Amino acid sequence: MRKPAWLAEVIVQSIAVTVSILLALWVDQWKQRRAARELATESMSNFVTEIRQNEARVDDILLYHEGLRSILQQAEKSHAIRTQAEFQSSIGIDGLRPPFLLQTAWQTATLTGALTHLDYETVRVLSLTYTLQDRFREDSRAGFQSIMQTSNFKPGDADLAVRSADNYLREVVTSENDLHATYEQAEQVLSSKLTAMGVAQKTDSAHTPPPPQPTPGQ
Amino acid sequence: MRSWKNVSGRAREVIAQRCGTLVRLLLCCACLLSVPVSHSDAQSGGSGARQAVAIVVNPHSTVSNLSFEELRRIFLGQQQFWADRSKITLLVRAPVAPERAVVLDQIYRMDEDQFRQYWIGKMFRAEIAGGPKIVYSSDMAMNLVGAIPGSIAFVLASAVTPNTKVLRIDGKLPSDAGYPLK
Repeated sequence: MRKPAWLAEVIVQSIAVTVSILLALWVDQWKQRRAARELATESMSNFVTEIRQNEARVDDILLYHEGLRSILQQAEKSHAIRTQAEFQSSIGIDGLRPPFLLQTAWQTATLTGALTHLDYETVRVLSLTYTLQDRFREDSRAGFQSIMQTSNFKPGDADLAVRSADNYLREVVTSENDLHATYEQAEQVLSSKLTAMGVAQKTDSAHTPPPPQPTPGQ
Repeated sequence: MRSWKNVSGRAREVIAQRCGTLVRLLLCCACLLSVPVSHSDAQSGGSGARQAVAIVVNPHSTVSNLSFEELRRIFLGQQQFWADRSKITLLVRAPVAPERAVVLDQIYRMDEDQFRQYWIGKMFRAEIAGGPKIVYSSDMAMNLVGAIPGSIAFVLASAVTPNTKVLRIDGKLPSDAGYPLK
């Protein structure tokens, strides 16, 4: 029995429609993958920039906190600070504050869903880094508030305040060193992933020392 | 005593002129006495002479002399590292202090609001990691300068202690004539 002519036309058109739909779906998936890859790349670049800035802020304040600690230790030995006014004049309270650390890259990545497009190791490293940062901020805030309590200043005696500030700064300096090491590790991981993805990275010249000048005769 | 009515017209004119002169003289004196004392005089207790401000650095610093422009670059945060690549930690006296007034006037050429906005802008543009560190007394400034490698601060020249390293600015010490920070 001969097949009717319309059957061939229906088969051809069905195949054409199916192929078109599959092609459109493939193109749409390709566009979504590309957008996700761009979002992930941009997010990782933001993380690298922010981590470098936070590292620079920690480095900037670390020497100052270590200097304040040495003054506090001398004051503790000599009992030179006796009143709140002398404490303010010798140490100041503002200098004891921890550095202000950014977390806008993490918040932005969370809100835009960029984290879902990053690989497991990258998210793990970032999560660890920002968790440590949050813990540093919380611990510093609690310790800072305890320094200037009225009970630390007795008439003619501020030894308790000096000791409290020294203990606080000891913890802060230790945490700042830990944060610095964490930032270095996170930056290495992220930079190597960006390099593997073929993304050029900007060097942060504002926070790095200039290259050594060649000596005459070299 | 002669009454005003008995005084001749010419005499009245002379008396009126001399009274007018006297009144004008008194008014001029009153104006001169009401001129406000200048800011720097107020800062120095009205003595009329500003005290020199010494620039002090960590004793282990290899820098002994800076040009005024180099000093300005450091204080403006445009230079953040010494030549030996160590970080510069800038220590700035908290308001209100005579040495801070001299530095704001001579080095920064800004008032307090402009100074604050300047550092906020630099932080916002991520040109610096942090602003200058605040010190609350000359003792604190010199203690910190001694403790922090690469640090630089300013104090009144009269407050400098013997074991503090004072920089020459344009080759001059605070006691030299022509020292720029007075």
